[in-house]
Amino acid sequence: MDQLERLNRTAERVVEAVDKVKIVLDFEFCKECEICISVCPRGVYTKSENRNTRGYRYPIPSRIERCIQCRQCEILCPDFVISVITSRR
Amino acid sequence: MISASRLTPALELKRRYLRQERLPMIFCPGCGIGVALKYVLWALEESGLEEDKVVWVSGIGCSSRVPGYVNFDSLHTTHGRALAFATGIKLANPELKVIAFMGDGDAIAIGGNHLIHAARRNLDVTTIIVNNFNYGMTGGQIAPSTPHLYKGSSAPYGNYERPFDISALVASAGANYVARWTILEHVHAVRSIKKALLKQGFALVELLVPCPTYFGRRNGMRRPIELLRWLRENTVHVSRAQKMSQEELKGKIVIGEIVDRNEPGLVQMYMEYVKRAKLAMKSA
Amino acid sequence: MPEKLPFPCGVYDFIHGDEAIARAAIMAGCRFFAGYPITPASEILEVMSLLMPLVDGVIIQMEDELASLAAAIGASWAGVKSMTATSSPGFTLMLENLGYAIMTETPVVVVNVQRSGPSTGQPTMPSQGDILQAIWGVHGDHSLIVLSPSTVEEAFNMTIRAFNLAERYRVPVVLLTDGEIGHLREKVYIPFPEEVVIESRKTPKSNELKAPFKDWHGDGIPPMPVFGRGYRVHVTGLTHDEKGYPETTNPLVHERLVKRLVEKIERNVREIFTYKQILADDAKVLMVAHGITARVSIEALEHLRKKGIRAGLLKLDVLWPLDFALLEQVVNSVERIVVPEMNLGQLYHLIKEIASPSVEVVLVSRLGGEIPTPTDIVEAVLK
Repeated sequence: MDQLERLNRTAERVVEAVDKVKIVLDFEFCKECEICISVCPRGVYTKSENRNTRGYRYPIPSRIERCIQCRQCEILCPDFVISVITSRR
Repeated sequence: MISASRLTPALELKRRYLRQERLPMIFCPGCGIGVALKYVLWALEESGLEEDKVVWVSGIGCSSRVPGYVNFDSLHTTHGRALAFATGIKLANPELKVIAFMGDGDAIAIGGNHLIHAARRNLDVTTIIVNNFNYGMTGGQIAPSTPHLYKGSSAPYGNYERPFDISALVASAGANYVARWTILEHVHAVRSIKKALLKQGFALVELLVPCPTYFGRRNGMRRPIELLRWLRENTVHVSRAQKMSQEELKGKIVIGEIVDRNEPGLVQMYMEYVKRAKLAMKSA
Repeated sequence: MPEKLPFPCGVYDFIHGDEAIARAAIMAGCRFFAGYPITPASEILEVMSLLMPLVDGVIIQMEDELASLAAAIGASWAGVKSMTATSSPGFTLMLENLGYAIMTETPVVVVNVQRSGPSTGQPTMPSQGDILQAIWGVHGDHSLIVLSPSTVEEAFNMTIRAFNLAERYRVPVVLLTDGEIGHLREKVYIPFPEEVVIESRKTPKSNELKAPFKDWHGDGIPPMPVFGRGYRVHVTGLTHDEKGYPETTNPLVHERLVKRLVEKIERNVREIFTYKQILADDAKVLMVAHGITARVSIEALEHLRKKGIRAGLLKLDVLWPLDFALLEQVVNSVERIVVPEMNLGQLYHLIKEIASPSVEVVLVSRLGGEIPTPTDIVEAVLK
């Protein structure tokens, strides 16, 4: 499977949602730097037991109900992995 | 008005501006270059500049690889010389919007002379210097930005030199706009970059970022979050720094808008040279 | 060219080499010049600073020589014909960016008004010490074009040719002259713009944009996608694939690229290499010279023929690419070759390599700014 195909597998990206907020992760791009996990003020993320095809354990928003949509995870992720889609503007 | 909630989703930014077939980017886990790039893309989007007229220029180094990832015209040049090439591009076609994107070693060591001359000339270029306090691509050697006594692969016993204050240097050389932020101050950084993009003359935004693989690891900060904490603890905003003593400021880096002026840019000054030439010819 | 040029055309004028080069560049369409003061090339910068604004061109004095070439390369990518000028020490400083121009296939003209070296040497004295540097100074495998004028009028015409060759082959062209011709005042014919043939780089068609560094036309020369037209081209000095993207781990990609860059010049040697043969048909002794020493050789030739010696002259207008097939034939059709040069032997080695063992190759070397006299050359021929 070539690089582009592998990355396009992010059609299977992790999407977690709760009524106000949806967190979308292009997990194939994750490099396990853990910034999002550390920087989240509400402890929303935990590390997945699974690895992406490059061997990295990506984050899962397992406590999404605690998310306050500050978007720090999205803002500080160096690899454009996360988007926090919120209904409020 | 830039605020966190109104920034375009990062995934959309990636789709819109990055060359998909070249991803993923080569940067290390936790490297701040990707974040710096993200801020520039947000600012570019906000600025409304015509995309076909945007040209990215870079030198050599990790940061300088960025133009190869963005879907714009780009010139990846020789080590330290981005601003010299940029001078030619901008003067030859002033309609082009030139963004110089470089690392600290590239910009201030080998490129130092071109940096200060570009600022002196007030060359109409937006310059982003991504400062990770060492030479990342070649293995973590110290750079003229490495703080005194910190370690690098070419100073295993601690850097015996003092670093440059890059922003102060460029400001005193005459640049119209200079700002320095860490990647933690995202709203300010994006706002400054947008201002820099729309400014006439030389506009610099210096971004302080983590390099976990080298600078961090060699100085007891293996994890990116530790480096982010170090950045927060060792930077102080200019408004607070003004009230602090020399002693208190020791080892601290001042962040904020360093200078903001509106002197004529190089293109304008050259146009006036042309006017003078034609006038002289007429009266001859 | 619709605009009026800022100097009289269709006339003979009395100017020095540096001025002739500057005027010729403007006539060839050069509208960007970046330079740095250095004896004996400073006058090119100065004349450009007078003339460029009058044709709405750009002239800038950069902070050093390598920045000057960098700016000229940048301007070329912005779509403007550009030039820089320097002397031997400055040329050495430009080598890295010269390699960059070759690797990125950037049309640009680099004038080197040679002076005596090495190092600071004799700034006001001419020499021919940069031949091998001009051809091989750039690191790695590469090729480029090097022209050598013998008179001020040739300096003028070769400058125009330099621009045309640079545009046609998407390569830097070095105009290798010397401090003598640079500062020598002579009669030059300045043509009307309409009399001059100008060539410009090929622009890409829309289907060619997906691979801007591909050899679409089979001539080894991709069309040039300049900035600002929506081509979204990535240009890098790293080894790159046909899309222009860095590809440094595949040996085949590197070999293909480097060979194409070299072959696009060397395959076209017949078109590029020009020379003059004077009285060479029945010659037993042949002088092989270029630049200022070729001029002196012409007078030496007159003396020799008056004495009844069957001497001839091969004057090289182009120092690279060299038509080795032709040269081998010419060199080996005589008994003796005399190479007069203002160095300790550079062209001499290139000739010696292709001469068969039965042909004697003699070097007439003059250093220190001394131009060999016709007597020096005559003596060497007769010895």
